[in-house]
Amino acid sequence: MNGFLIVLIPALPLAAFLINGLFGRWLGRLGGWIAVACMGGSAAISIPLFIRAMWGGFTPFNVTLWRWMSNGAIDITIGFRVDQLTCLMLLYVTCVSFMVFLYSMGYMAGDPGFNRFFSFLGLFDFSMLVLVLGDSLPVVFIGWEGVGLCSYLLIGYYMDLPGAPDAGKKAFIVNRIGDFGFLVGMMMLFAALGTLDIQKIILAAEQGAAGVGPLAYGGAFVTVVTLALFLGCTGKSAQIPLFTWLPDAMAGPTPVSALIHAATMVTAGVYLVVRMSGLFVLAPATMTVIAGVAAATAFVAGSIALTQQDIKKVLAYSTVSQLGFMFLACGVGAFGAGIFHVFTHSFFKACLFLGAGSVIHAAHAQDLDHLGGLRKYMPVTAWTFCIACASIAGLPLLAGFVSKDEILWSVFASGAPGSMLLWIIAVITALMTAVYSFRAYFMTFEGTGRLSHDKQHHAHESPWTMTVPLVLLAFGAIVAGALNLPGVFGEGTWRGVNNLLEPVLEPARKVAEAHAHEMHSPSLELALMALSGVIAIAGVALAYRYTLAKWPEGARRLAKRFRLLYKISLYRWWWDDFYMKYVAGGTWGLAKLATWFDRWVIDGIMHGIAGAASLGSRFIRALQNGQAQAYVLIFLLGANIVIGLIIWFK
Amino acid sequence: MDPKLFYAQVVQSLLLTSPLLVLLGAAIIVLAADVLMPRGWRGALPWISGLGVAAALFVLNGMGMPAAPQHAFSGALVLDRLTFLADNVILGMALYLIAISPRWLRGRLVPHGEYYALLLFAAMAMMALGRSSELLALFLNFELLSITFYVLLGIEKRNARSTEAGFKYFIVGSTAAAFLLMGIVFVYGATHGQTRYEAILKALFDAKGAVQPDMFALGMGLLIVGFGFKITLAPFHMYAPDVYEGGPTPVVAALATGTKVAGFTALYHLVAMAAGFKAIPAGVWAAFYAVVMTSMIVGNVGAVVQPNVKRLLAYSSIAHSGYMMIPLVVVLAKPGLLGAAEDAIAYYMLAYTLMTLLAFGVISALAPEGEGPIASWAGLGRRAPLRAACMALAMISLIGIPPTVGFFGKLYLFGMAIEGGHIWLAVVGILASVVSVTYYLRVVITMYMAEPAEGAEKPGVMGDAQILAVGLAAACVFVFAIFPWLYHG
Amino acid sequence: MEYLHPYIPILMIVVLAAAFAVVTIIASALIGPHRPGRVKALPYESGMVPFHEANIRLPIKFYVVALLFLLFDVETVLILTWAIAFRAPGAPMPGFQGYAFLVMLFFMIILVIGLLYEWRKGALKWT
Repeated sequence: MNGFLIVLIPALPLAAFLINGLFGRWLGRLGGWIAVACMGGSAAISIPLFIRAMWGGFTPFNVTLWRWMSNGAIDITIGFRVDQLTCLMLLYVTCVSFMVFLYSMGYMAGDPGFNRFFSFLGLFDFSMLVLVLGDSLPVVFIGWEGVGLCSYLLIGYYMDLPGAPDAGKKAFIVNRIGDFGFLVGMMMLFAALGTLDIQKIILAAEQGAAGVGPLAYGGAFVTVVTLALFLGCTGKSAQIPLFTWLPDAMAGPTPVSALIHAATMVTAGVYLVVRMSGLFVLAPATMTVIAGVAAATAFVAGSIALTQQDIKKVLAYSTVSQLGFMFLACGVGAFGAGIFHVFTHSFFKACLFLGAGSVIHAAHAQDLDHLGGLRKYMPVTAWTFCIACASIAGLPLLAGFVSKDEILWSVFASGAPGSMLLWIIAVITALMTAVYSFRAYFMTFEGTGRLSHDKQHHAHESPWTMTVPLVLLAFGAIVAGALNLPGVFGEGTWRGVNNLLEPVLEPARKVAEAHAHEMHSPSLELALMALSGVIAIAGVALAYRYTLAKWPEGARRLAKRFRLLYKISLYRWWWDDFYMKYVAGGTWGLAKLATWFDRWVIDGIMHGIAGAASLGSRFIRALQNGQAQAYVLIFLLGANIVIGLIIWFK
Repeated sequence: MDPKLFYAQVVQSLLLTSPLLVLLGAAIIVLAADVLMPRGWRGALPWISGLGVAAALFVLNGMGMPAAPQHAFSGALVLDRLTFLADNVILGMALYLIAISPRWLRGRLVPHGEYYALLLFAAMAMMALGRSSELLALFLNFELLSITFYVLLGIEKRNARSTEAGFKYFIVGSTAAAFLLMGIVFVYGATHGQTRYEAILKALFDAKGAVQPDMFALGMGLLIVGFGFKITLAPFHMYAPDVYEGGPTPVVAALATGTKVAGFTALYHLVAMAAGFKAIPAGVWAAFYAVVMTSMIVGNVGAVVQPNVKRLLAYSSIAHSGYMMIPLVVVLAKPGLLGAAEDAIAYYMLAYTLMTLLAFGVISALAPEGEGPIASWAGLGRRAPLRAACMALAMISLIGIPPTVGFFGKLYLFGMAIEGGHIWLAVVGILASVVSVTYYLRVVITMYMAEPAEGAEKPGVMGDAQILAVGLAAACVFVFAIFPWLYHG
Repeated sequence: MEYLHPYIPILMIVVLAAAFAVVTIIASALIGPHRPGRVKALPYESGMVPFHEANIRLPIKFYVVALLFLLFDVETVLILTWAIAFRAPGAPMPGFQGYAFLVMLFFMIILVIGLLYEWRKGALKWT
C-alpha cells in the first residue's frame, strides 16, 4: 500500500467537495453520483487496507506529505500515520459514509440545495479522514475543526426551518468550549515536550510510565493535560456537561444525523482518547473522571430517551448514551472494547437513523404518537430497523450484544475505583437501552396506524438508493460482532479487533498491568453474559407490554405511578433549562461584569494606547507637510544620527 | 589570460543574466512596436510585455535554483538561492501589474508604450539590483532602478499629483544616491580598493587586519542611509506617503513591492558580507537597530489617522520594512544565523509582495473613486463583494492572522528576533502589530459596516485579466501559507 | 590617516580654487568704485528700456535638444576612448579585438534603436 493511495482516501471526498461546490450548479444529480463514486473509491482503498491489517502482513507506516514550517523551535510536518487503529477507523468511516452518500441520493432528491449538501458531505468526510489519519495533533486538530465546521453547516442546512440555524449555532458554541480544552492540552504538551507528533508523545509517555520526563505517572501535569484533552472530547462526543447540543443537532437532514451525529464525528472523542491511550493511562485521576462522566452520561441520556416523542430525539439521546458506554470502556482502561463499540455502534446507529429517515421521507411525520403500523407499507425499512434495534438492545449474538458485553465485563473486572457502582449503572442503562429502542420500533412500525388519513395514503417503501444501504448496514449490525468474539470462549477464540489493536494499545496495557488488578474468572464472565442477555430480553418485553399490549392506558398508568421519574425523563433532567437559567444567565452576569471591566479598564488602556498612537500619528502627519525640502532635511537629520551613532559607539 | 576561459566566462555570464536580457529585449520590442505599429494596435502592448515576462520566468526557472552562488561578469552580479527567489517574485509582480494595468490606464493620458517598456526596465533593474555583488554594479543598478521610477511615477503628465510624486521621489532619491556613493567610497577606501563583495569579505577577515574598521563602519552606515530611501526605512521614508498617494497606482504597487524585494536582496548580500566583522557589533549595529525600531513605530503609528488608503499603505509598507529588517539586524552580530535569515527574508518578501499587490490590485480596480479617501469605500461589501473580500483578505494578512502568508511570515521574522536574543525587537514588533490592527481593520469595517454615501454608485466592472490576477493573488495568500515548500522548497 | 596622503595635492587645489574665487570677489568689491543708481540697477537689454519680466518661458524643445545632445555627447566620449584602446598595442589575448568590436556593436545597436525611437516620436522635429 503506497502513500499515494493513502492520500487518495481523503483526497477523493475533497474532490467531491470541490466538484459539487464549484460546478454543482451545472451538474445537478450527476454531481451527487460523482460524490458517491468518490466515496466508493475511498472505501475501495480502505477495505483491502483493513484486510491486510487484519490478516496479512502489515507494518504501520507514515506518509509524510510536506514540511509545513520549520523555524528553529517550530517544526511541523504534515503527514499521515497508518497503523492498525487507523485501518479500523478508515474501514468503518468510509463504508458508512459511502452508504449514507448513496442513501442521500434518494433522500435529498429534488432538494433545492442538493449539490450544496453533497459538497458539505464531501468536505466533512475529508476532514474526518484527516482527523483519523493525522500523525500529529495539529493535523488531527485541523480535521477536528473541519468536522465541527461541517457539522455546523449541515445542522443549519434547512436555513428557513425554525430552530435549525440556532441549533447549528448551539453546536458550534458548545464545541468551542471543548476545542478550547483541546488547544490548551495541545499547547501544554508542546511546551513540555517540544513536539506534537503523536508517536513521539506516546514515546515520551512510555518514558513517563517509568517515571522519566515531564509525563511522570500520576503527576499533576499529565493529569491536567489529559483532563484538558478530555474536555475537548466531551464537546465533540457529547458527554456531560457538553452533551446538550447533540439532540438539537437533529434539526439537520437525517442522513447528516446518521453520518455525523451518530456514526463518525461524535466518535472522534473516543478515537482521540484511544489514540492517546498511552498518555491517558498515566493519569489515574483522569481515568476515574472519564469513567464517572461516561457512566453518568450513559445513564442520564438513556433515561431521557425513554420518554421522548420525536423518533430522532430518541435516537439522539440513545447516541449520547452509547457514547457514554464507549468512554466508560476507555475510563476503565478497556480501550479496545471502547473502539470496538464505536465500530459496531456505527453500523446499527447509522441503520437506525437511516431507517428513521426513510420513515420521515415516507410518512412526513417523526412524532411517535402519530406513527405506528408502518410495517405493512415499508417492510424493508421495518425489518432493518428491527434488526438494528435488536442489535443496540443487546439481544444475544448480535453485534451490539458482543461489544456491549465486552464493555460490561471490562467494567466489572477492571478493579478500577468504584467499578461495582459503574457496573450497576451500566447494567441499568443497558436495560433502558433495550426499552427505549424497542419502544421506538413498536410505536413506529407495529400496532395501529396513527397517521392522518392522507399521510397514510402516501406512505410507501423508499427507493432502492435508500433501502440498499439499510440492508447492508443491518447486515453489519448482525455480523460485525464476529470480528471480536468474547475472550471467555477459551484461549483459541478469535479476538480479531483486540489482536489487531494490540500494538497500538501496548503502551497503555503495560501501564495498566503495572498498576491495576484485573479479574479473571471465565465462569463469572459467562454468568454475566447470560445476565445481560436476560436483561435485553426483559427490556424488549417491557417495551412490548407498555407500547403494544397495554397501549395507551398502561403507559399512562405507569407515567402516573412514577410521576417524578417520568417528569425527570420527559423534561430531560431540566438540563437545558439549567443551562439557560444559570449558565447562560451566569454568563450574562459575567458578561455584564466583563463589559464593565472592558469599558473602564481595558478600554481605558486601549484608549490610552490608541490616544497615544493617534497623538503620535498626528505628530507624524504634522511633519509630513508636503514640502520636498523638509523631507530632505529630515533625511539628512536621520543620516546624521546614523553617522553620530557610529562615531559614538566607536 | 587564457582566451578559452575568458570567452567561456563571458558566455556563462550572459547565460546567468539571460532573464534580464530577455526583459531588456522585450522592453525594446515594446518601444519599437509602440512607434512602428498603427495606433489601433496598442492593445497588443500588454500582451507583448506579458509574453516577455513569461519568457524571462521560463528562462529563469529553466536554470533552476542554484545550489551554490554563481557569479557573472567577473563577480559583478551573483545568482544564488535568494536572488533566484527574489527574481521569481519580481517577475510574478511584473506579470500581475501588466495584467491589471490596461483597465487602469483606460481613459488616462499615459503614453502606453513608454509605460510598459519602463515597467519592464524597472523589473530588470530590480533583478539587477538584487543580484549586485560588487559595489559599482550596486550603485549603477540602484540608480537604474531609481531613474525608471522617476519617470514612471510622473508618467501621468497631466496629473499634478503624479508629477509631484515623480519630482519628490527624484529629489530624495538623488540625495540618497549621494549617501550611497559616499558609503561605497568609504568601504572601498577602508578595504584598500576592493569592490567585489567576495574580495571585501576576504579582506575583512584577513588575519593581517589591514582594513580600517572605523572607516568601514562609517561606510556601512552610509550604505544603510542610502538603502533606507529605497526600502522606505524611517527616517528616510518621508517621501513615501506623498509619492504613494500621488503616483499611478500600479507603479506605486511596483514601488512598494518589487523595489523592496530588490533592496532587501541587495542589502542582505551586503550584510552577509560584513556579518561577524569585528567592527560591526557596536556602531553599525546600533544604527541598524535604531532604524528598525523607528520604522516599526513610525510606520504603524503614522498609519493610524491616515484618511487615504494608498497613504495608509505607504505607512504600512514602512512598518513592514521595519519587520523585514529584523533578520538583518540579528545576523550582523550572529553570522551563524545567516541561513535562517535568508529563509525568513525570502519568505517574507513573497508574503509581503502578495498581500500588498492584492491590496493595490483592488485599489486599481476601484479607480478612480477607490484612490480617494477611505470613506469612499463605505458599503463596498455589498457594492463590489469580490473586491471587498479581496481587500479584507489583504488587510487580514497584513495584520498577520492565520492561516495567511502574513502570519507565517511574521512568525519567521519575530522567531528570528527571539532566536537571536533580541527580545525587544520582537516585543516592539508585536506591539506595533497590535497597533496595526486598528487601521487595517478600519478599512474592513468601512467596507462592511459603514453605509455608503448618498448616490454612491456601483463601481465599474472588473476586466477579465484583472479578476484573474486579483483572484490568483488572493488564492496565493492561502496557498503559500499552507504549502510554503512550493516557494522555497 | 596616512592613506589620505595622496589626496593632499587635490585638497590643495580645491582650497586654492575656492580661495581664488572668494578673494577676487571680495577684492573687487573692496577696491572698485561703488556708486549705484536707478538706471545702473536696470537689467541690460541692448540699450533698450526693459518692458517685461526678465525670466521668460523658453520652448520645451530646447530642453529636449539639450538632453539629446548630452546623451550622444557622452556616448561619443565612450566610443572615442574605446577607439583609442582598440588600436593600442598589446591586446590582452588573441581575438580580443573581435570581442571588443562585438561589444561595441551591441552598444551601437541599442543607440541606433534609441535614435530611431526619438525620430519616430518626433523629438527631432522643431515645429
